[in-house]
Amino acid sequence: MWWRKHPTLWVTLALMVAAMAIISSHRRDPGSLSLLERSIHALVRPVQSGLAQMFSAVRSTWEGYLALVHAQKENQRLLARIQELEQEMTDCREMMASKQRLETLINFKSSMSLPSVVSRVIGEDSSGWFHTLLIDKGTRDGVERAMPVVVREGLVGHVVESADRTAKVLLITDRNSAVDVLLQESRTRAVLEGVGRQDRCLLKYVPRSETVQKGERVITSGLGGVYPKGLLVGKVAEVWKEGYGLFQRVEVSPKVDFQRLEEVLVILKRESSEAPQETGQESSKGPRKSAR
Amino acid sequence: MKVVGLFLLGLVLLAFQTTAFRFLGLSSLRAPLVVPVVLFGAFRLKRIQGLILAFLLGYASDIYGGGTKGIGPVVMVLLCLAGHWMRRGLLLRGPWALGLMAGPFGFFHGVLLMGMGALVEGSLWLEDLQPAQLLLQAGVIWVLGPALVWLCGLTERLMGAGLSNKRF
Repeated sequence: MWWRKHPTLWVTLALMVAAMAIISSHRRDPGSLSLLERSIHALVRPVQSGLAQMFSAVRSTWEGYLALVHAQKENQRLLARIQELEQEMTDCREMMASKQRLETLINFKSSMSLPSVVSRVIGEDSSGWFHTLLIDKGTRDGVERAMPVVVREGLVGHVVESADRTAKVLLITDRNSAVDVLLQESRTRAVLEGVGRQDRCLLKYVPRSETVQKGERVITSGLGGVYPKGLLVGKVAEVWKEGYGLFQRVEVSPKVDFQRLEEVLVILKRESSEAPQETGQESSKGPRKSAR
Repeated sequence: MKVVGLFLLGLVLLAFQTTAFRFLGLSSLRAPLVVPVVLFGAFRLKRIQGLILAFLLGYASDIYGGGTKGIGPVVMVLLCLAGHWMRRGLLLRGPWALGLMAGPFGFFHGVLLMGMGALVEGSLWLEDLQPAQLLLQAGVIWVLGPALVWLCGLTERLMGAGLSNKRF
């Protein structure tokens, strides 16, 4: 048979065609999950959840206990007792901190008029090139694509994929994120884009004629169909006016510390009939943003 | 069975890389730990099995990544083919040799991933390519490579003998 002579070639070609089909399918409908993807999510989630708990415990033990061990060598008799108390104290502190975080989040949740669900962060992007988080709530809990994700401090991002019991959140710091925002005092509209850094975002399309003050608060505009109006995003960190050009360069420092996110709130609004914000701004920003 | 075992090992490594680095405060060191598994498959499995394993692990990586799905399988299949090509001329094939070779493969994984991403999404490749990040990822894989290859060998032994009868 003709194909038996070069099986590797034909298998490679078949795999490449399958990959192209996956790319094409993902480009057509980026939020949908295939049966295989759902199965992999279901298979990996328990491992991921277990590892997250284990490493969280290791981290809290390291921070709260092991770092203090060298200072406690002076009294061997009391060491065991101190260790025990330290461990108990660490557990209590962890519980208190967790309780406070949850209380804050629940207070914030009840202060919002929109229905929402509290979710735990269980992982992050696997490649290191993108800024996404995995949360432990999915379609079973009502979490769907394009739902905004917030914490009390401010806006986190929005859901880009939702499996049964997990969902992927694109952070506002990701290069592919674009949020329609307002400068709270000057009421200037602009587009907030991620630059791939946790501590900085870029405010685009701010006309040179507008006066933007350092420290001015940036909030969501409510336009674009993804984020409700008035969510705090961050504060203006730097403003530059080059010698030429229509726009000025404004850098924004996000209010949220993305490295330390442990629980988040997903606003359970239904996906509106409008296109998601990323797609909505596609025309003004080229094809790149719409892709990821 | 070996393919299934290595695929499950790859999933565990994916779960590890998406959680461990974050919770230990080492997010910047996050690297694609499945690359050594793909390399191992290229060296130890039959060609077609290696290619299928590479495809599946690339797809699984995409599910947990933020990029366009489908790019990962292409990149992993290309790395697997490179591994197949190299296995003919490689004199040392122990876990150390293979593990240390995973570093450069990790580097090219990043380059190909960003290159393919740029090709599919029509953006500027060089704009997204961060040499420091690439080298850091390659360094992490280079350091962890021998241990990961050893894990692959262990999985292979558990699931059945490899191509040769030699223990890896």
